Amino acid sequence: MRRLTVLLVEDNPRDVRLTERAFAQANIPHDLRVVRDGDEALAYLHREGAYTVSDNSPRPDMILLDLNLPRMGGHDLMRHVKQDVRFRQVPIIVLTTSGRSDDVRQAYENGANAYLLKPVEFSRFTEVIGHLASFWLETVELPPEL
Amino acid sequence: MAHNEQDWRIRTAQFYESLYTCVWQYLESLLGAAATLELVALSRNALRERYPFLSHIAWSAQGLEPDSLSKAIAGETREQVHAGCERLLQGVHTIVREIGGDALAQHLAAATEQQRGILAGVNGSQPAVEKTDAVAPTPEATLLLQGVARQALRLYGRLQGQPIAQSTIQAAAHGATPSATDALVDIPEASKDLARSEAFYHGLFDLSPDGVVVTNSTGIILKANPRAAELLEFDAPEVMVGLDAVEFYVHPEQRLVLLEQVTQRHHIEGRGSELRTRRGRTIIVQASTRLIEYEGQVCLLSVFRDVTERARLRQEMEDFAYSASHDLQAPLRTFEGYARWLVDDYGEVLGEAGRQLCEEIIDDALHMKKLLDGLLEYSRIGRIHTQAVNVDVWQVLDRVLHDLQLEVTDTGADVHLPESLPTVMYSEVRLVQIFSNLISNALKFTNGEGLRVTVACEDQERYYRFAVSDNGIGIAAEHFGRIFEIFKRLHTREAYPGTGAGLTIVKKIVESNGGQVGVESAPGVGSTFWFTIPKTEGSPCAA
Repeated sequence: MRRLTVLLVEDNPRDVRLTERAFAQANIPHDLRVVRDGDEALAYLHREGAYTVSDNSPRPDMILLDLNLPRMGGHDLMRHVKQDVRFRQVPIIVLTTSGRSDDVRQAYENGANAYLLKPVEFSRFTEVIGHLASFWLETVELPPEL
Repeated sequence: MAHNEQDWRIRTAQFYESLYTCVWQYLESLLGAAATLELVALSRNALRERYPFLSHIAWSAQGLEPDSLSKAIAGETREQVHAGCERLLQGVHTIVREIGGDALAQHLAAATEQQRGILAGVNGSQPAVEKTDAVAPTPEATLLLQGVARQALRLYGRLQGQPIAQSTIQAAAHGATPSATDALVDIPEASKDLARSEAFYHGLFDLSPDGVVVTNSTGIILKANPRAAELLEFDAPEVMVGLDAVEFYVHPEQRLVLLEQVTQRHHIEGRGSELRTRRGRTIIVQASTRLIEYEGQVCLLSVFRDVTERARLRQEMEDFAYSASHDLQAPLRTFEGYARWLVDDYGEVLGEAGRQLCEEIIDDALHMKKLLDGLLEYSRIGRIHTQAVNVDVWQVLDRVLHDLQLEVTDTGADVHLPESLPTVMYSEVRLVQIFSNLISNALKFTNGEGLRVTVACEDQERYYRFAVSDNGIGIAAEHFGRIFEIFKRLHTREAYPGTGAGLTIVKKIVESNGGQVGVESAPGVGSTFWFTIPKTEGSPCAA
């Protein structure tokens, strides 16, 4: 199984820690990169600021995106990424606590590839991450590397 | 000779037919078909012995049956027919005077005389009008008719659900045509009454804390009161006259829907709409509208109340509940996730007691998640508008019982459904929520074998009443009010798990759809939870 490079856009450090643990427990070879908000995510993708060294910013196979973020939020980030020819192929998976139908609709309109609700129960969260990884790594054909 | 004989019958039948039709239409517009039919029947019965042929004239809710008059008078003498027909008219007039007062009777008389004039013009001559004097009612007959009239008044009151107000009829008689006022000028008593009731209605109109607007069928405003002008930010109500009411609607299609529904049902109550004021501010109003006759045409009378502030507060509350329950979930994930982490990775260090504490943190975090879900759902009922559609209650119950299959099997409950169930206008998701909550409660609050859950449906005139009954643990009467409050529970979580949000959600759904909810129960006997669904959709914002 090849290693999955995941860009996690999440501002809550505790959620980051739990996500890292969920990936570890799901037993998926992964390289999880974490940015705190939409602006930082764009800097990462465009290799700007702290991300000018390419080793610091490998191209993600998937973006895991929280919606409620400081500065540039999840919806705006999606619009930017999906309008950029260099990154629009990267699957964006929304991972959020908001079940608001407006958020769900807007996310798909902005080009989200899937919308997941973060379960409160950690064992279920691990399950969700496991399903997600096995779907994108083993089931679907990802865009070829540029 | 035979030809002549036939001729007077035809002419007389035609004459009284159209005179009666005129009287009928006049009364029907004022009192409705049922009361008019009653009124005609009462006057006819009072004359039955003296003029038996009157009993053979057939009336229905549409008025005089065609040809029934000519059939009834066959074989009667000319004098008898004229006298009987006139007496019937007078009988009706007497009752009308008794019910509606002189003003109305005079107006009816004017309308009848006018019709006589028209008929005379058409037919060239008026048959037997000169006989009128001969058939002036005897004092006894008048007394009898007045007694009958009082009876009619009571009957009418019963038909309408409340006694008829004299002023209502007088105002209606007054408003119907300008000529009516002219006819009343030289009747001092009546005009005083009329002036009094007019002053009363003017006062009501001007002082009303609610906006009042009369619009014609094309939506043009004919009259508005000062409060309406104030609400819509006009300097004076007169300025609003002539404007198109549709222009005020934020969603103009609502006006068309209103027009259509009010035409069908004659009145609509408590309908919520958003209006735009002259200065462009949006206000939320709750309006009741009915069809009235105003200045000789069918119009819409709307009374509306500004509920903007109330709606804003409610929205704020619901938004708060939503964000609160939403934002509170993030820390919960940390509690649950970290406690689990401690057990998994540091279990040995923690020891048995430490692991137990962690399990309790996990347990409570998951319970709080359920509480938040309940709060979230409760706030959603007001915030998220779901579409009411035709829902087959069978299908709803089928789905609910399928979802609760596990609980039914576990409890070994015997579930009974009624033989027939209606199709109702409701949001399917909400109806599923109602039944799901009630049936799962019935399955939950039990203490042993032989549990029996019965779903019943009563088809009432204005609503459907559904009930879910069980023979479970029951509830003491002093708790009936509390169980519908959010998070209120009568038992420990250990004894009967749950959050205490279910019934609150049921109550909010039922009430926001114009229904009622309640409970009948006794400890140890069982509980019946019932709710109603109105047959006519009347809820302003069906949740």
